[in-house]
Amino acid sequence: MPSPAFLQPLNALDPAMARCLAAGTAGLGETDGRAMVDTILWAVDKEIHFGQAAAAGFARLLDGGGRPWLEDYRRAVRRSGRQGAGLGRLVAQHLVPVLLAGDPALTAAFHRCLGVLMAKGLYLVREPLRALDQLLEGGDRKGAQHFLVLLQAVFDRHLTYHQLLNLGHRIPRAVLAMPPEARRRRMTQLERLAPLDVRLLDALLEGLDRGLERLDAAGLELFVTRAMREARADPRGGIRFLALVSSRARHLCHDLQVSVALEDLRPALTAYLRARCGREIPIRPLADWPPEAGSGVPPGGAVATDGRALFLPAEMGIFPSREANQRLVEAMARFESAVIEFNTFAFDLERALKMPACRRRAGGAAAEAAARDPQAPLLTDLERFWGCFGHPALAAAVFTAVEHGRLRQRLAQRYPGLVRRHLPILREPPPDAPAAGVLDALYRCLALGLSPEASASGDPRHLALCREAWTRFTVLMEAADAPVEASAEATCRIYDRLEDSPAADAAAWSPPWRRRLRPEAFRAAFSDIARRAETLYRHLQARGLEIFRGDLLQKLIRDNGALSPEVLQGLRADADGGAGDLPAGWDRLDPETARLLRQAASQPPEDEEDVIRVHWFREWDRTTGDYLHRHVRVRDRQVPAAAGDHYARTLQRHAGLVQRVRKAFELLKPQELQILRRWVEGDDLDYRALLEFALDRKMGRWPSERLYIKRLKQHRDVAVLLLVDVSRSTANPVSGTGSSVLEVAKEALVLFSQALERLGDRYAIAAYSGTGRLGVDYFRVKDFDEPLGDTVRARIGALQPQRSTRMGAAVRRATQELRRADSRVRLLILLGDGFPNDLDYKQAYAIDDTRRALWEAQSGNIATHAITVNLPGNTQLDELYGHVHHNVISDVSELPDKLLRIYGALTRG
Amino acid sequence: MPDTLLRHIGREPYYLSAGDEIRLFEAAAGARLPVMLKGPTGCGKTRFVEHLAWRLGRPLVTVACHEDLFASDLIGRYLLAHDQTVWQDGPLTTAVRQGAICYLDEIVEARKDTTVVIHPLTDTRRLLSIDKKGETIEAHPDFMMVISYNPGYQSILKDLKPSTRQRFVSLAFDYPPPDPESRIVAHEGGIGPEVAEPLVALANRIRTIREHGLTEGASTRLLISAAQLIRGGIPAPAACRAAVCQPLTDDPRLLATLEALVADFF
Repeated sequence: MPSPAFLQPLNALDPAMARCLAAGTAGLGETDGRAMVDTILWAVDKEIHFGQAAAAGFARLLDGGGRPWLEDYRRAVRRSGRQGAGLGRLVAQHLVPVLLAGDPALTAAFHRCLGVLMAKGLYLVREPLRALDQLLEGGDRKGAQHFLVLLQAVFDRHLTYHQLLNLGHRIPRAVLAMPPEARRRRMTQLERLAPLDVRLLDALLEGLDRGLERLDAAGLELFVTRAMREARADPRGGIRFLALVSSRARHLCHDLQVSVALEDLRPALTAYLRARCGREIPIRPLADWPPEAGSGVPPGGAVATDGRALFLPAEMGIFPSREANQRLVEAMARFESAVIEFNTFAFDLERALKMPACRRRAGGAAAEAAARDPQAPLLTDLERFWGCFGHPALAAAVFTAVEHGRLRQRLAQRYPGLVRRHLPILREPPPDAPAAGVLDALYRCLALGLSPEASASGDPRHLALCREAWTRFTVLMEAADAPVEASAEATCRIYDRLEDSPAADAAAWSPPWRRRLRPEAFRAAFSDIARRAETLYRHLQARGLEIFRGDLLQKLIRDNGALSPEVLQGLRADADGGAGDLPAGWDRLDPETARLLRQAASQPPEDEEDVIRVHWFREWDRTTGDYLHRHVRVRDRQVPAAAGDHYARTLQRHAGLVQRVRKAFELLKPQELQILRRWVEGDDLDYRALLEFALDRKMGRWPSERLYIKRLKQHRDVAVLLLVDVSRSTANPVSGTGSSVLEVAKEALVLFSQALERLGDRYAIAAYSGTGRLGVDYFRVKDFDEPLGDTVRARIGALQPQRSTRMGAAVRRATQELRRADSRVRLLILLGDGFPNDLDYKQAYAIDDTRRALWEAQSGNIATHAITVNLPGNTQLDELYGHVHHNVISDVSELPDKLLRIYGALTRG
Repeated sequence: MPDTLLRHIGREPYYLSAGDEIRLFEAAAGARLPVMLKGPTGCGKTRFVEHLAWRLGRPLVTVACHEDLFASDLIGRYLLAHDQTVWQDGPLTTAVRQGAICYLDEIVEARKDTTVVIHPLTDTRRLLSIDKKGETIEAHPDFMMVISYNPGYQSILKDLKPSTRQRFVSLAFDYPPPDPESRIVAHEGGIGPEVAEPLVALANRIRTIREHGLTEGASTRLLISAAQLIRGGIPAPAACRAAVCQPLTDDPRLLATLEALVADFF
């Protein structure tokens, strides 16, 4: 097609530019076309990139159906270009999507905002306009308009250069990062704050990251109103309030929350599931759903399990109240964990085939599947079972309804309160509930236990099916402990009635809250163990030893891959409770079987010369929610000998304090022997009382029988271990003292040892550091039975900053030492300067393991107390140690004095 | 010592055997061997001794040991009566003379000097020396020493010394399996199995979360207390909270978990 005449001048200048415009100009009037080309040529004349941007802008506008706004665009480009090629180019680029949105209000807002930004400088324009483009590209037109209004509100006031830079950078990024559904309400609040104090904007963005994001529109508005009141009274207080730094703000935020964060529910749910299932079931957000476990965990309201962990939404805000959202998450966790507790994934096809309908339906196909190539990827028995049907997706759907029904029944038998309280929540249809199909009716009837009438929603065909399915289901599930295989039998009997339903329906169908059974995820989670189970199973079969594959797999999973010959013998298919002699072949397992049962042990690295002893400890892995056994290697080491008179110098330097401490601790010391008088029985007669007794009798009075004394030896029965962090960070200087953190800690140790010597409490001192899980060092500075001699004094002086902080292992090693201490009160004091941190041992993982190690100590009647120095107060410390079990000493130079005060308070009788 | 502390057990104390512990105890009694019972708090050690005392037809002397228990508290002392000093046998001496079973509950809590008294009584000599009287008594043929302690609750060194431990035949106790425990709770608490079974199931769930901060699991004794409250008309959830959850922990988070479990069962 020949290009229009008005493009000729442009074609002469830049043919590529003209070609780019040609496609969109068909039918464009000569006047409009000429004006457009003139503008481009004018822009090129100003600056080549400006011209290119204008040409590209016209082309996008023409291609995108924006011909009605061609003149507006041309004028805007001219106007901005007259102020400078830089601005012209930005307008040429970013006005196009605004115009294409077709909203005059948005266009007007664009121009107003541009005017405000330009008044501050071109440097401020680029980033907001880029963000605007992205908002419009994402289809959020209202959000984009609101964004422009916000920018105008923020920047249409006097701001310092640094504030302009900061806000010009921060606001666009924060707005883009907001979820679209929450963006406008958050921008509204930012806009409210701008006239009061722009510093509040930063604070609100921080507060959103720290938890305000969980508030709904009304909650956020109320919170910001309160914060504005605070800010008017005290600007700095208002900033702290909005940033969720103050306790009052945190409490208010908590009270206003509508959605619940999984992180808040996780500790209680973890302990609960441990109790329910008898093993650790990690709670993880759905975003962590492993890709290898198969897709199909859509966001929002879903719950899933792979048999190892439970996956729940990171945040639940479907309902308008926090209580309702929390109840929903709890109900989901309680019901979904039944899949693990009642062994859905232990389904054994061979066992199912012993049932008549299963044998009829799946016998031949299963035999074929069993004979398949052993090297092929392992399918679970559930997948194999579904594969035996003409429409596997339909079989899976029916099985899911039946199996959830079985689980509901098992829960009702074992936990009637649970079902009474939580089933009604799951019976409520989710907000995005699909149309009522036959599978939905079946699910409501069997899985949710609603009557066939209520399930069928008035559809007579559905009602007939539900009635029939319900009858078959109740017959098969009559036994209180109906196994998962009973669900397979029921599936076979119900499937026939549904086979004429289009299979595509079943493929697209999902149960309410997307509680689909996911054997493919189970397969991915336990692939190693499943492979070992399969090898062992085939091996045993070849030797004529009958066993169910599902039983074998479950035992291996429960015991982390380990299986003893005795347990294996208990699993034999003909086992009837273990009575009587073992059948032939089972009484002595052949060497190959025994080899398959053995686990490989890990090889420790070589040790250095000063290692006295090596210990192995487990470690808590929060990602799997289980202990990693023999995972951390702790080496008892000698503190390298060092000459010097650190101990004596410290005593000299703190002579006044030493004297005061000695006196204070003298007062804590009980009397050696206490004599209790006037007892009805005792070690000796009390002669004063005896005299009174004789006198009373002489005088005819009724004498007292309390004639004895008891001698009680009083002593403080306290053993304390002071565990000192000597990681690299303890080399940091303490401001105003000229010493490092460790130097001050060492001074505290000197005074501590002096005080305890005076008091007579048994005490030990140890330090720890290390690198990696195989190299944790535990330095024994003073053992419980070791006197405070020159060697110990020299060791305190020789402590040096080392490497990392694998705190959990050090706590376990110290706990082991304290367990051996022969004292009524045992106390572990941790002295450190921060959070645990090591290779592969960081943040939440390290905190969880350390907390777990502290719990273990407390379970063994060992009190724990932590003192953190050189760190501002942090709520995570409460999380780590428990709020009554730690002190923060911000000014480390106060440590020597405070350590003794804390100790005195902890052990005062 | 007042005779009232020497108990002749006339009626069979309820005890449900969980293994061969009765046979072992009877064999030890026949061979005049002292017995040590190990097990967690409230799992039925004391009841077992009472049952065996009844079974063997021997009187029983029970001493709950504590940190102020002296050897003299076990052996006896002089008392004043009618202007004279009169020797009064302690519980151990009474048991030694009269051929009773002497049950020292939580022996590790007692003062160290008590073990000195125990040693000559628990080997082939079977002698009790009363220093204050200058008398040595040979134990009655039916005398039997039984001690108990809870290994989980004590520190390793507070544990019995090997020289003491190795004098005793040891029987390990644990909470009974669910079925027998339900029968015990039903019998002792005076409730039906429909209430006893969920109580036991609840305890078994709680016992799995020891490492979450509990010092001890829920004992059978706690379950019996809960059952007795339920029998007295207290609703089961409230009874479990008062008799099971609250005695186990003061930690609010852990209490919330325990109460969630209670709510599941009732």
